[in-house]
Amino acid sequence: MTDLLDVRAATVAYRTRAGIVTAVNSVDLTVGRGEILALVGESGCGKSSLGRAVLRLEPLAGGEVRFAGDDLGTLRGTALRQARRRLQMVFQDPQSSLDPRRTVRQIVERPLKVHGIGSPAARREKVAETLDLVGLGSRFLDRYPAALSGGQRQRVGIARALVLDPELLVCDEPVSALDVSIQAQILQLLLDLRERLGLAMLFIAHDLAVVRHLADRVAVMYLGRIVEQGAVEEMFALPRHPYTQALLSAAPVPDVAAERARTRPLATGDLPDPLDPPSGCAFRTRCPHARPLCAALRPELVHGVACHRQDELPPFVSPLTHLGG
Amino acid sequence: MSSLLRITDLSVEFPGGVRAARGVSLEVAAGETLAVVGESGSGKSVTALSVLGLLPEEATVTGGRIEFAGVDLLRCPRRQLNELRGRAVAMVYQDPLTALNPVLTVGRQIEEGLQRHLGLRRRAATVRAAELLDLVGIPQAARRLRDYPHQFSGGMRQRVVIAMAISCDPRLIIADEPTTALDVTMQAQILDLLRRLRDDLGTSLMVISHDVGVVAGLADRVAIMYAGRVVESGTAVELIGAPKHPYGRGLLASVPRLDAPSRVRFAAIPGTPPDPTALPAGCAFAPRCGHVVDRCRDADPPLLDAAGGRLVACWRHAELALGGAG
Repeated sequence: MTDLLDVRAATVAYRTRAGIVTAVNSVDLTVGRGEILALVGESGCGKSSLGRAVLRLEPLAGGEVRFAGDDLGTLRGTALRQARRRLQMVFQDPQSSLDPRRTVRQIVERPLKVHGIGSPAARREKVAETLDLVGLGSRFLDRYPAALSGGQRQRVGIARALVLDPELLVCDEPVSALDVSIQAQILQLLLDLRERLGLAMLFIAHDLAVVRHLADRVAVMYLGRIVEQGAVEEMFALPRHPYTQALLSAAPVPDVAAERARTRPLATGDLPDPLDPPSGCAFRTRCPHARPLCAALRPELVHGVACHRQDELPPFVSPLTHLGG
Repeated sequence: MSSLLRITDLSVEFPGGVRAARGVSLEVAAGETLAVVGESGSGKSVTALSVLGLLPEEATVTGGRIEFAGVDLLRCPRRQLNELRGRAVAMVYQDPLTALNPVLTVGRQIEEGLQRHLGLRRRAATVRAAELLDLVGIPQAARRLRDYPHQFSGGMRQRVVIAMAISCDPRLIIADEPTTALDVTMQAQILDLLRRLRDDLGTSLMVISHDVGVVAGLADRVAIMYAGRVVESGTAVELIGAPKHPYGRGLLASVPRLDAPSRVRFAAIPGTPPDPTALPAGCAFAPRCGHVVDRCRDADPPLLDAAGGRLVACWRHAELALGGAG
């Protein structure tokens, strides 16, 4: 069976005053039907650019995005509109992604109108049904975004994405702007929706703990490239790329004994300048295991890991003593 | 242990009847790290800003006392407050750009405090500024003194702010979400730095955070705030290990954990925090609490001793502890 989403050698580049920044550099990834793939990395790694490129909100400088077998770049007219229906986005900040002058009903109905779907009565019914699905009753229909809490706004954002019955949601940091007790509501909603609707998701995130409990597979990005990908359980139990190890060991846990026993951070220093990325492996300037080879030659993804030294690295020991065991 | 900072019954209001802090009492002992944890609108930042007299103009302190080393900060002359601020009490902000002047080199900004507060000569101040940048882990410190804030990355800027904060040997550092704007690998480096500096210098630290994980390795004691009040406080080990207030329990349970088995349900707290202009009559958490009884809706529970130095503001915490309810 073909994957629902198949991204091949995708490249996204931006022209800046200082030169060209290659935000996404020849990335391959797939998302199966009903699967949640988490794309993780720190700011500037290219994860959001890749998510936007999948939805063609960002032009590709190279490569292709295939959805259900079709190359989105070659689709035109009705075929493109049809494909777009099946592929929707949930944004990070529900505050700025919802039109403040429209009611919840108008916001959620709009995609149906744009795509010319249903009679007014049918649309009305579909909007009410979708609001129920995201846990907002019909009493919210005539409210404006300003009268909603952050969590309620994000539910509206999800309803707007769901109203077209998509098969894939691209979620770009959908909970990072929310308080932690509200985050959990939205994350559980996304899991429930996947269960009920068989939705696939490309879930863009920086919070590894969220990803651990949400995703089936994980792809880790650093400076425009995927450095490691694999099944969530395996990667969290045994991260193999030094950057994945650094990320996992840097994430704080709410456990006093573990945090007080924490050793020094694995990754030191800063992200390199994306205008002038390091030769070879982009992570080598911060990597505790770097060798001259790492500067000379860029490692390809082999068995899901892009590291020359993946077979000779010492076993990963989390600085949080009871992790990684 | 005598307290260096003592906040007693502090109340702060904003126009429109927004009660941002409602009788907050907190203490920080000499050499101690207190973490104030809460979600947005809990009043944690307002409390911190009150200490330094940095509340926005429209805010009014409607009651309470703030004493620092015996000085009543809410009633002392402006000149004395200015002298304390930057010298005895230093601040580290969430966004280092707000703390730095964009048109002055970082060297000049550090030297200014050293000259004004410690009376150092220009040349001595420059030498000391370079030492400070080196201490906070900025490579080629002496050369970087001549750079402007925009020439540093976010993480390096936060190091500069920390260098400024420790420059006059303060007795207390207040850090308001010091790592929230940073990526996780940079956050780990800054937390490591704060921990080392605090231990080496013996400074007291009051850290404000929404992230229990961030404060777990830093704090000696923790206070949890909700809707303008402290609902629970205690040692970090006890409170983070076993919160007693239903909100504290819910907050800890809702943090997804890297070290927990995956595929458990996300444990959300139902509902949303109350509107600060229309707080419920009783306990502000009652509308979201799974253990609510009539008494909770009628009267706001005071913050009372719950044995072992723990303070809890919940009518039912003792029976809940016995029943092991989560």
